[in-house]
Amino acid sequence: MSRSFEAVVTENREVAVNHFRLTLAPDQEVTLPAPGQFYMLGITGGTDPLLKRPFSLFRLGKNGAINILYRVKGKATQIMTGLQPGSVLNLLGPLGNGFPNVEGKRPIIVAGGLGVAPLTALAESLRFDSPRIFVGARYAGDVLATDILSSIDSDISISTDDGSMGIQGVVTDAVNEYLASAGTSAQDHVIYGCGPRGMLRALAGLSDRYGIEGYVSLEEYMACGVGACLGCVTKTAGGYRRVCKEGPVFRIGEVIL
Amino acid sequence: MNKLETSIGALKLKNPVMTASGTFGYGEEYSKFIDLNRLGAVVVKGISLNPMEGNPVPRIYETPSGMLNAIGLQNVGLKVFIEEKLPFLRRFDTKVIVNILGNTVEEYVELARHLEEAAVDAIELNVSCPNVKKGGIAFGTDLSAMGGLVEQVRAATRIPIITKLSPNAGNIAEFARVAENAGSDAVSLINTLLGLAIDPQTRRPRLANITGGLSGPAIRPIAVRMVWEVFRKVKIPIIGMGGIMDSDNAIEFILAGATAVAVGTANFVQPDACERIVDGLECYVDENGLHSIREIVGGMII
Ligand SMILES: Cc1cc2nc3c(=O)[nH]c(=O)nc-3n(C[C@H](O)[C@H](O)[C@H](O)COP(=O)(O)OP(=O)(O)OC[C@H]3O[C@@H](n4cnc5c(N)ncnc54)[C@H](O)[C@@H]3O)c2cc1C
Ligand SMILES: Cc1cc2nc3c(=O)[nH]c(=O)nc-3n(C[C@H](O)[C@H](O)[C@H](O)COP(=O)(O)O)c2cc1C
Ligand code: FES
Repeated sequence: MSRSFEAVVTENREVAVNHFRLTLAPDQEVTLPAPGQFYMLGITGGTDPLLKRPFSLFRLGKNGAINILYRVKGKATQIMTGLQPGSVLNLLGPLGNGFPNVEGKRPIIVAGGLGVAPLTALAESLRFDSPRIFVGARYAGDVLATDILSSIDSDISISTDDGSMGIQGVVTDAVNEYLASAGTSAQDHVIYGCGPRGMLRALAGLSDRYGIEGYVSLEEYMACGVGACLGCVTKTAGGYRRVCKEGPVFRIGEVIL
Repeated sequence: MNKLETSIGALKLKNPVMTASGTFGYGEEYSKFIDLNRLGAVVVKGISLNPMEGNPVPRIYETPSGMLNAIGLQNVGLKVFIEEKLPFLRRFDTKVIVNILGNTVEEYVELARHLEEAAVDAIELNVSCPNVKKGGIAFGTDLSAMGGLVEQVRAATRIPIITKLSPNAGNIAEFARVAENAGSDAVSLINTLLGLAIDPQTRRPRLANITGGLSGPAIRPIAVRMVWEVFRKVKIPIIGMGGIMDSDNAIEFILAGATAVAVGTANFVQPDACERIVDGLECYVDENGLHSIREIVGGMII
């Protein structure tokens, strides 16, 4: 069950320019999060920034430690870079629905940019299903978490827009190539994606073309994180749905990307 | 005796703390984080006769010590509310107040009748939502339209009526007086203040609706001032709200003239904000040797 609790910062380390890994030790026994779920983080306790900020579970550490991978974006994430070991944050979670397990299918994991955050947790939990991992970024410096991903026994391919690392091109082209070469066995896969909307749209196209089931994780501006404010909705075939409550993971085909 | 007990007309509350409409869903969403039995009342998200889809996203944007929202009154509609949402709330020992909105007087009247039948404890007439074009605000910005609406709803129902006032309509105390004369049992204020934020990079508005309603601590001094102005003009009870984060903020509203208070944006920041405020009020009455919180309503010393 999700709840409100406090957690102590044990590590806050810059892992790439403007990107940090934050490790939090909850002050009490908390529900184990599922990959794809997220937390609302209270950064200051003051009124500016006022609202909590949503962050995905990046990794589950020892003794229930919560790892988060964040990019410095604005006010709150800027303040977060100054967090020292021993600082206490207020958390709400785990929230939302994680990625569903699809038995008997080989996972294709497709991460664009920071989309790698929730998908690292997923890849680690699916490590025995030999996931096929695709990571896309603008340039080499934006390729994150490959240290963890390559420790998973799986095939991983990296694409960058400028070719500064891996293949030059968009990540969904690499996915397309892989599926095309898989022939009829393409349908033995399930797609999991997180990244910019454009990438997710392209993934939905591939899911459609090859007739493969798929799931994507979405982001929207959030205030409450628990389904109360109706701020975070996204369009689906059945009308607006709350990203924090019915999502953030949606089935491709259900959500209008 | 319960020192926090108070009443809004015929509506008895175990304490003066309620949730602000639209910030607490239908109660269920927060029930994991807070004991609903400790609240004076739960005021639910605005309900219309038929479900409403609401506005496109982005619907919210944070601003200094506040937030803009343009949800557009997305709601499940009267039928689903009564059948699927109300039974859950009924399980708790707290009053249920339903915020309602319509495009016409007839719609408000029909909503009020059905909700009385469904035995809700009170209704709050939303005539002040800044985020939808039709209805709501059309009544809230026109003195005689609002008076007519309150009169018609009054004639149709015996349950307590609270009229929720807009801070965007000119002299709020005038509106309060018209609501009182038309038979409203109480007024609640303030709804959000109309605001706008623009992204300097893209030159586009931050919200899809362009403008939105400002809430949170940023609006508190305006809200407290308005409660005080209304307090001097009307005899019916006032439910004060706007940026209440803790019990000291709640006391501020009570001193300005509020009989009860509602907590909105603070729920997003601290899901148990209402409960903490009840605790804080209990301490305040004890520390100040009060027999009842009612002793200090409008008690600002000048
Ligand atoms: C379910 C979910 C999971 C997320 N997981 C991660 C993660 O693992 N790592 C990470 O770095 N970021 C993640 N984000 C995005 C992260 O929440 C924002 O980058 C962060 O809120 C920015 O706050 P700020 O004050 O620094 O930025 P500002 O731009 O100053 O924020 C202003 C407002 O915009 C909102 N906002 C800005 N960007 C986003 C965004 N992309 N999505 C939602 N709201 C936004 C903020 O919450 C705030 O209310 C996630 C978002 C969601 C919805
Ligand atoms: C996300 C959001 C949704 C709201 N929806 C409603 C609504 O449906 N009906 C209504 O009368 N007021 C609505 N309000 C206004 C609040 O009830 C309250 O009047 C206002 O937010 C000021 O209080 P606060 O500063 O404590 O939030 C909403 C406010 C917010 C922030
Ligand atoms: S963030 Fe409030 S409903 Fe999703």
